Amino acid sequence: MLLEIKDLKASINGKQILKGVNLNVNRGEIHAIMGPNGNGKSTLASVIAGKEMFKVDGGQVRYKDKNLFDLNVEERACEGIFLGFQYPVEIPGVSITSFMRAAVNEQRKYKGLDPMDAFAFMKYMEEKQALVGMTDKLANRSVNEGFSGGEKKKNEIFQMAMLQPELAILDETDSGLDIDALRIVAGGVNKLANKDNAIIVITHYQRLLDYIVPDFVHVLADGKIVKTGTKELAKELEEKGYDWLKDHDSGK
Amino acid sequence: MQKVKTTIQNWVKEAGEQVCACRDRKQGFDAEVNALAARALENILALPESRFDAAGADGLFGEKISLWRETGARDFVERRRPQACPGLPRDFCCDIEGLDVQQVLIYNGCVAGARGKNLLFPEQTAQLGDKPCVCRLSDLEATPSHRAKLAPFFEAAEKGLHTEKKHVSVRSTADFAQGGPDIGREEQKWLNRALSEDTLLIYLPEGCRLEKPLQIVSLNHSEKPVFVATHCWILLEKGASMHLVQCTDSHPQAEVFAEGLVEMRLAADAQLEYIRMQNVGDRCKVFHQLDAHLERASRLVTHFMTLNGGLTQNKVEINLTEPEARADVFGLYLQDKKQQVSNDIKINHTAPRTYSRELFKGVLDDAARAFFKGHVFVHPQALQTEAYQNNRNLLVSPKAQANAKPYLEIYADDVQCNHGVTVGQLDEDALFYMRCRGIPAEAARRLLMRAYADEILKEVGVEALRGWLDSLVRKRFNGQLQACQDCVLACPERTC
Repeated sequence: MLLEIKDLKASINGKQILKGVNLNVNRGEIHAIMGPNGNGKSTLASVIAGKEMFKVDGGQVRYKDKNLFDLNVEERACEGIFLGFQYPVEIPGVSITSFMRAAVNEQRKYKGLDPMDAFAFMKYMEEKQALVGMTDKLANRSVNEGFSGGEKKKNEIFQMAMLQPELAILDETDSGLDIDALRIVAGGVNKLANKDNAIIVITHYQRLLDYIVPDFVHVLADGKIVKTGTKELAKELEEKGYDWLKDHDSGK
Repeated sequence: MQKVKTTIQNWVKEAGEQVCACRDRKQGFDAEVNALAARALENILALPESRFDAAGADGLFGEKISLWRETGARDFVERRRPQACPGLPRDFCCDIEGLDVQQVLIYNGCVAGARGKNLLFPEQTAQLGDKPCVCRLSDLEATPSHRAKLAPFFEAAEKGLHTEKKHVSVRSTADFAQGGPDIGREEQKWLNRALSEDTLLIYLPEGCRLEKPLQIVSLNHSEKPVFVATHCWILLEKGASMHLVQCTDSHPQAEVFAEGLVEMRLAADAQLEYIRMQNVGDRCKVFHQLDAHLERASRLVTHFMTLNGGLTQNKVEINLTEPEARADVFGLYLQDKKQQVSNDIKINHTAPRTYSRELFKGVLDDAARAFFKGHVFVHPQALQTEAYQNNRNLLVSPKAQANAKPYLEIYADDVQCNHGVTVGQLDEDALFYMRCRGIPAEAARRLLMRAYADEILKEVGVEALRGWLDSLVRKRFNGQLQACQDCVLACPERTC
């Protein structure tokens, strides 16, 4: 098993957000996590990535048979965890190229590999740029600075392609995308999915799941996963709303 | 009190003797060089007694002693002048990788090179003719035409407290505010003129474009505390242009107080890019002064790069005296440990349609402190002036400190001016974002700091110079840069 979350509880500023999440993810699977706003979807992603402002109060997370909480943020990344940000951060003065060169080479260093030489790196980057249709002009700009919503999300998928993670968590990658950008982003994700990696897609809308077809759909409500199903569940949610689920659960 | 005075007097005497001992020709500007020093000394000695008070708060060195705790007169009198005309390290070179530059070396304040010659073309005698010329002032023949060309410099040096038969009061705010002489600046100039052994002269004739950048390397080395003064005149005739890099380097362990004064005059349409690199050991003090006069449509771009140094002070005064003159003043300071840096920039707009832009950025780590004082003065006649003043600081440790005083003084109506200061920290969200991609926190911090410095570096006009500065900045952030890497004194095992 790639990722195993058991009874995970987490809080921020004393307010409990995750109230016992259980989730198992195997290689080769695509999971979708849906649920109403403010119920802990992004918190779950942040806790797995290692954002320090969240306090883990209980439970355990095992990743590749290691205790995830023994690893710091960059170690988790080097071990193959990738978080696609809901709001990608702007870094003025750092070009995408130099950012990615630093990231790729740091990850290689972690794995005991030599840094990629400049020529090989440029070729590798070109290849991955093509995947999401990113132009050279964009690649030479500062990371996310002045990017449109679509460009920012494309950039996230491009970085995912560059780093080839084993576990990618895409936090609302579809928000703020028009239909064309959505296709490109989803197309990129589909090309990257294979039998050796796993992808967790966090989304509000069933729309994204028309393009990225999940093996499992989970509903996260009030800090817990309240229902798990197939992609059909997403359709049902789209039709009936989350209230249906509450009613359904309470046996009405 | 008396001690400061006598120290200065003795040193002026010593310097004068050294000049005489070194000289073999009699027709040069020797007399003028000595007269400059004598005049400057006279001005210094006419200062109020309180300025010589080693213990007082109003002493000669620095803003106020409280600000520069270690730089008071007490420190000054304990120093010595370095040995006369010392032998230069034979294999010395300070090449800028991938760039062809012409080099002039100043070792402990003493200009290296053949006497009486033009240091750019060693086969030629020093003269201000139709060829570019770099030479010692004392090597220049004292002809009427030379005298006429250098007249503005001599006139400026003649000025003192009593020039117009009336005593100019010491540093009253009103004088200063009205664009009058700033005695604080003047007295530092006098000190430099009095104590420097010779004057390095850089001259470009009309329409001359110097293709290769000129690099002046001021190398300072002494294990005992010394005081070194360098003095430089730059004269660009109409339409001349050049790139000038002036590096002040030292051995990491050296204890040098390096005073430098550069006076420059740009005639109409002249263009100068001037890069001042300061990269000395933590026990060194660097006090640099720049005084520039810009004529019609001339352009000056300066970069003050303070990479390392225990205490660094830049005092800049730029006079835009004719229409369309334009000055861009950039600065970058990267300080850590207990280093301190101060940039004090005064820009006088006295003619219409003049332009100035200041951007100083700094990264302060550990318990470093930075001071920025900007003063833009716009004369009532300087209509349609544009002046922009900006200082930004990045504090990367809780004990680092930045102080800034942006100041505009405008007496004309039709102008565009702004000023701004920021003091901030590294963006935590950006750090997390980078760590999420596998970049360790420390490397991410460095990447962000370099990005911050980039805004200044990208303004450097010559690409190879920019690349060189960029690599120095990178080394600085990686903690590899103590003093100039290319200096044989800093790393004796290295041969060029």
